[in-house]
Amino acid sequence: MAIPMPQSVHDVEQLIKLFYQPGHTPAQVAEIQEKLQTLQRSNDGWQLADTLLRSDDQNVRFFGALTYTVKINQTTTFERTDADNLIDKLLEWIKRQILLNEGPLVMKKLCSTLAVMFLRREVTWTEILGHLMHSLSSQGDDAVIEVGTGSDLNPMDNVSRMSPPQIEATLEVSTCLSEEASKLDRESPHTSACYDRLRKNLPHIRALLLLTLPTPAFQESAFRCFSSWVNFARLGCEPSTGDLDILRDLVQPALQRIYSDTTTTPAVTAFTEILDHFPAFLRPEHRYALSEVLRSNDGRAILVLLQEEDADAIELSSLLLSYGNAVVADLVHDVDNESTEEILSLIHGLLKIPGFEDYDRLAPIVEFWNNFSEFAENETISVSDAREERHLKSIVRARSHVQQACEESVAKSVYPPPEKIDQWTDQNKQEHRNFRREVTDLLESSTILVPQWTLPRLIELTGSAVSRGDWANLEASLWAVAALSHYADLEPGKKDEQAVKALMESSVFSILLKTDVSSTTGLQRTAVDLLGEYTHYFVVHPEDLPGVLHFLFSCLESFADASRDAAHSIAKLCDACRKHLTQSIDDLLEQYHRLADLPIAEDNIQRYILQAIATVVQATAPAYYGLQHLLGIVEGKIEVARQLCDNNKDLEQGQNHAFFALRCLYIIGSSLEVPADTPIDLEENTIDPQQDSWVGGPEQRRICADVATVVRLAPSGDIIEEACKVFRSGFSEHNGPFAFPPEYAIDFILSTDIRTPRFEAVLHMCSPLLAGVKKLPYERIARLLQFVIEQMQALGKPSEDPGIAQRLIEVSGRILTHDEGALLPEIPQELMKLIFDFSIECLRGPDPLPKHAAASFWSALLTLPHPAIPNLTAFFGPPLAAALVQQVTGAAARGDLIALTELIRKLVPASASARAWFEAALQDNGSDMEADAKERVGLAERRRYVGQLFAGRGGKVTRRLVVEFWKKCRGLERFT
Amino acid sequence: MSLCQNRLQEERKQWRRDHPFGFYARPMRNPQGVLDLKRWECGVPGKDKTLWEGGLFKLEVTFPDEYPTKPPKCKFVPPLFHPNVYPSGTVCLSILNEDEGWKPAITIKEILLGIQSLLDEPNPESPAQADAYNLFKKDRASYDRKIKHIVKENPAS
Repeated sequence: MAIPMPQSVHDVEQLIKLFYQPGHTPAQVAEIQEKLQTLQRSNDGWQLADTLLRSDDQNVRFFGALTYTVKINQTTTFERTDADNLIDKLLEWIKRQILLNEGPLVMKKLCSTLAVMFLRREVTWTEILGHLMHSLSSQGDDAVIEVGTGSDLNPMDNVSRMSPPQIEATLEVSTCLSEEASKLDRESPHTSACYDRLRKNLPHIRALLLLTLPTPAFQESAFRCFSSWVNFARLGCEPSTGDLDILRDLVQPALQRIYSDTTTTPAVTAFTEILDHFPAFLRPEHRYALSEVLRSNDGRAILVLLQEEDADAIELSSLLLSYGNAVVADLVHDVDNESTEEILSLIHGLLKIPGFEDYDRLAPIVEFWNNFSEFAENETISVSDAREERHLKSIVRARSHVQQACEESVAKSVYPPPEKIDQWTDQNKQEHRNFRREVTDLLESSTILVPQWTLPRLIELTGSAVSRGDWANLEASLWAVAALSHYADLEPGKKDEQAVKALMESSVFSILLKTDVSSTTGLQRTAVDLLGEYTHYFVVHPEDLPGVLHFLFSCLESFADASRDAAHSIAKLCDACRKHLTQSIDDLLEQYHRLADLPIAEDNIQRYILQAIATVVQATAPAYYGLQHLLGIVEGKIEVARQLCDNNKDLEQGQNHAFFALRCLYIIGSSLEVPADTPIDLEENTIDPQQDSWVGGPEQRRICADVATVVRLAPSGDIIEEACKVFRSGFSEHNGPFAFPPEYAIDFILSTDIRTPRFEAVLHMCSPLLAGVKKLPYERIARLLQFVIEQMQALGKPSEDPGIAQRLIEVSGRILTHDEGALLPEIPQELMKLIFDFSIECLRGPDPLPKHAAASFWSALLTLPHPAIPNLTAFFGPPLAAALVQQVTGAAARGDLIALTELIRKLVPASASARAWFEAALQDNGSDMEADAKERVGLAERRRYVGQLFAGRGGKVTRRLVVEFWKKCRGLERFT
Repeated sequence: MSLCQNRLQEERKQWRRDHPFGFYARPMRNPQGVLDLKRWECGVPGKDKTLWEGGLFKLEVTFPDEYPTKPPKCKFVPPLFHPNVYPSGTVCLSILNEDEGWKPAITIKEILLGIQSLLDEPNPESPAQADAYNLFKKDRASYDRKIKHIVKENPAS
């Protein structure tokens, strides 16, 4: 039912009450809100606010206060007297509200509204808080004293005259004032005037807080006020002036409240914020006092209280860390200082609390040690001779702390028992991951600060975990060893290398296959990941490979949660160590066949194992044997697909199998590529004489037949794309089973047309084919060009399929510029015109990618060193310039301008007539410019623009000119 | 310390103090193991209740010497299949463009949140790679299927 617009104050009150009742649908809430907002914004809004503030209902009064805020924000400018009157009125309402002695809802709104009003530019007087205190404490009637008065009284006197509710209101307004001021735009001159006014109120803030900070009843609001004024001071007070010292007088009384009888939170939160955001606010004596507070008996007690997840202790631990981070330089430098050691020992203690597993809280502790370690790390780089001994002493001490922190962090990163993990939410899992990420950072940093210590120590920990049968700790230390793989110094004889060798040759991995350790969370997965991370070790220690591969295949088969990672590690190891595994092809194939039928062998796992085998096959000479087997595996999959597709038995499954078969073929093809870092042997006689026999040989014909079978079975877009990938996998190869003669790919291309699904993927294959290692015969290129033109004609307009249009343009460009334009003289003029017209249409069209392709096409063509180009430019220059003008005068999107600018830069110097072409295209008559653009940029301005463009001669200035002109034509900016 | 280094130190502090759930961002170490504040490795998770949910995508963020006057370059490693990611992996986003939406006040947190939003809300006005853009425009079902596959290949856990 529609809600009628209120007709009386009573109606409005009822509607507000309705608004705050529960149970409305979102649509009803929106409707009521809209009605109320209309009333608030109306001319009667001010009057309505006053009326509502007189109500007995708290919600209605709150809405009245809110209406004041809405009206103030809605009013652009006040007369000065109106602004003063408004402040008086708000003060009057605050005084009334104080007398009601109810909850803070209405009071907070009135106070924030008053603060906003005080900060308006129309209010210029400075004695804000003096006036506020004086007004609130004046007795007798509702009338508020004259604006700006209150300054003649001493701030302490002003404060002492107020009652507790008046003090509470003053604290609220003061907090809002500093919070609102901190939100102002610091670049605005108004802000600087505002800051000046607020600074004049600092003595009053000091007086107010000296009274309230030590008083338990005010603690929460007083500390909030204190920290918001310190934050304001960070932005609004010059350190060189005495302003900050006024607030610094409050530090000592505030510190005394950290362990008050009531809650510690307000004081702790305030100091944590100060240390995090404005540590320079605290003088050395303050820091020392804070350190004393943290080291007191109460401070030490947090290590016990955190076991019970005590809220105050959690806050205090944050304060301890913020303190540590703020004084990290002192903590690193201050050797022989007991208090420094005590603080560091407390922070160590935070990581050792049994049962404290809140990883979100634990991560900042490791972050602190990171910060500490990085600071010490920088110190090791910048040694100062003058204090070298002391410096070295501090580094030795810092190393010892970091070593301790590393061990504590790794111990803390242990997974809890499975029954606890079962209850973890996604958030808990993420927090544990984040914690480990922090630990990784610390471990990495430690490898720089304490070279050759971390990895051996972690490996030592794995050994002791095994001897204790502590599988969870073993998992954590193996994880840490894996995390440091890139930092391991594996030079023979180094401590790192010796430790890694000891680990790889230890019994750790065989123990992991035993049933009593199998249920430990993540253990096998971590172990298989570790092996995949240390491929560089196995490259120089191939003697350890057989055992490791056996372990990985066993894990793959026996532990479902580790199988995928095991397969991935197998692929990585075989890739890196292919030359050492050439005798193992049969074993690998046997493993594949054994696993392929198991339920665990999902697609990804099969893919990794095929990839592993193919990389080893690549290193084998001759590769025929391995290849035959691999192709046999693929053909087995094709056969399954064929059977499923036959008579539409299960077409969807059949297509999935067909796609997977092709995916495997592609994986095999790309894994057979010669690794990029293989040294080239320049002695011809070392080239395998059999290699050339791949080209056009039975294996290649077999692969192409396999591709054709799959495409015939299921000619879907995904399959066409995958088929293209198979052809492309050999394009960059000189030799090899997938380095087909170019005719194979061309034949495949010619067998398709614009109706082929994912045809753009087919066309996309042409560019690398033309740029490939083998020179294409002229006739084949000409045939490709003819094909491209046929497809352009079949497509008609580029907008019919922008994806295909883009690729057609790209291929045309490749062919025309191939071999420095060798083909240009042979192309009949009418065909040439067809391509060029199509490209200009792309340039003019709305679709970004064909447009960019067309711009690149012309940019490449115009700079081609070929005698035919000047004639072509003379012929196509005018329509090209017209298309460019149509674009840069507004038709193009912002993102098109880079490509268009590049083309303009090429066209400007391409012909002596280019300027005339641009000028003609910018004329009033016959121009493609939009009428709006013509109106915005007059003819004279357009001419000036062309003048600037050509004065720039296609230089870098073109980009700025094009953007400015485009903006001007679109009405976004003036052209200068 | 230069303006750039100062700002990056501050960014790092801010990030440690408060960062969105599931993201990570940290300076990388150079081959000698020394921290390089101008190169960060970051992870952006797919937003909940979108196709990208459950994925975590790795980025390298490189800050120029002129940072924060000039924006950082954000590059997915490996390159990501997405209409607004160049084949090189570089992200095309207005707030990362000096001539468009970049402002020195933009924080790393805002950049990474912007990139997270971009994942599921590609900007068809600024395509950066044809494969993802064309599939997104022409065959949404195949595009969605491909994204699901990519998410599976880049799991958050």
